[in-house]
Amino acid sequence: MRILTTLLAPSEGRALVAGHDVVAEPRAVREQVSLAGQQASLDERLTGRENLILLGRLQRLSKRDAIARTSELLERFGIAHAADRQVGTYSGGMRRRLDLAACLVVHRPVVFLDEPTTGLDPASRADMWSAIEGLVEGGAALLLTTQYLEEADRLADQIVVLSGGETVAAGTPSELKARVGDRRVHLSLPDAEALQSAARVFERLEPELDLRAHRLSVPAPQGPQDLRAALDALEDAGVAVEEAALSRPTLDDAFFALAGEQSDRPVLEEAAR
Amino acid sequence: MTAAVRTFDEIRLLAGRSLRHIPRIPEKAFGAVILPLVFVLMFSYVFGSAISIPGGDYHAYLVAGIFAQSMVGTVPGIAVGVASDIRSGLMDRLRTLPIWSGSVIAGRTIAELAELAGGMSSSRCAACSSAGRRTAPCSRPPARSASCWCRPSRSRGRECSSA
Repeated sequence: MRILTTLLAPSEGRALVAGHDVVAEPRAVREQVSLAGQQASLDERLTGRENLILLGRLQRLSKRDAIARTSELLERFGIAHAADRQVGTYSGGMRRRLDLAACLVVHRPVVFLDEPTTGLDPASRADMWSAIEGLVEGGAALLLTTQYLEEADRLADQIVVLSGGETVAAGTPSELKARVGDRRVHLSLPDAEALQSAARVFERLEPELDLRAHRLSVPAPQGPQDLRAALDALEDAGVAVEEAALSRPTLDDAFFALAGEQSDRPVLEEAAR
Repeated sequence: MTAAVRTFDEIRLLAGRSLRHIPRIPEKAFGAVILPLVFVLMFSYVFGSAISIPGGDYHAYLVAGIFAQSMVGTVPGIAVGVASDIRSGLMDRLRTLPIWSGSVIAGRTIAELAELAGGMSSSRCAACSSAGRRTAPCSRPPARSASCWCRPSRSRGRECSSA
């Protein structure tokens, strides 16, 4: 990401952003991109409004346009009430929203977001997500990194899974999930004995067993029908069931399946359009 | 707009940003304005009568020294400011803007110079008044050569390099 935004020179290889080479034409690339870093990269001693106006003016908006655009963005991101307070006094969620607003002061076709919701509470995260979705609807190409697979699932059209610096997998969220398999039935059983009997009932389906929690799961390509069939089969065998659930694979399952044992610090990268 | 005008504009905007910091970081303004003032007053009024320089004027020597010290003292201020911009990530954002990369430091330097000029002019007033107490009014050549940094027009071409 730092290479693509011209902050770092690549040690090898070549990268084009919006048709411009990051090494040969850094200025042309900078005309096309905007970046929100991992920390909210704003001037803490300036107010939210001053920060946005400064960035707008540096990108050659006229004074009047910069002021108008700033008020519009502050309103849209719900920080108008704190616009004239120094950014140093903002909460984490407000900073991130202001940071995202700072990316949008001048429209850029390519937007880079580096872990935009790390460390946010669930409400602020939902706000950020809808703001990001609005940004993509506005016609910008977005590259964002995240460690939350739920976030990638919701926001991305294309996902690249990185582990230990290597690309582990790439594709759309549904492609990645399809690689892990279909829906599964999860059953909780009262004790180890019941678990063994249940395992014998489903022997043909190659169940996954969790011996400690007395849990078992089997593939359920037919969904609810398979769930009912599984419960019926257990009842016929006289095995009591504590809980039964049907789930579709999440990206977390996909990630664990794809990254396998080698992942020490997983990083997920995605691009949405 | 030509490139030069654009660059000038960028520097002006970023200098404006750093100038806004001055009233918001009072402890830093304290260091730039009050500290040299205190030094001038203390070393001339409190210690001045106890020190004499053979063949020279202690007061001129003192004021020039404090001015030089204050000016050198702004260098770490600029460095710390730039370092905190880098650490906070603001520098990354500014570096991805299509602006001349030197304008960030140029803007900050201009703001620091303005702050320093404020500090120097208040110290100069203090230096003149203490010189006036000790000797003749501020017309004595050594004292004047020390303080002419801030008012070259009245020094009539006198050597200003002591500041």
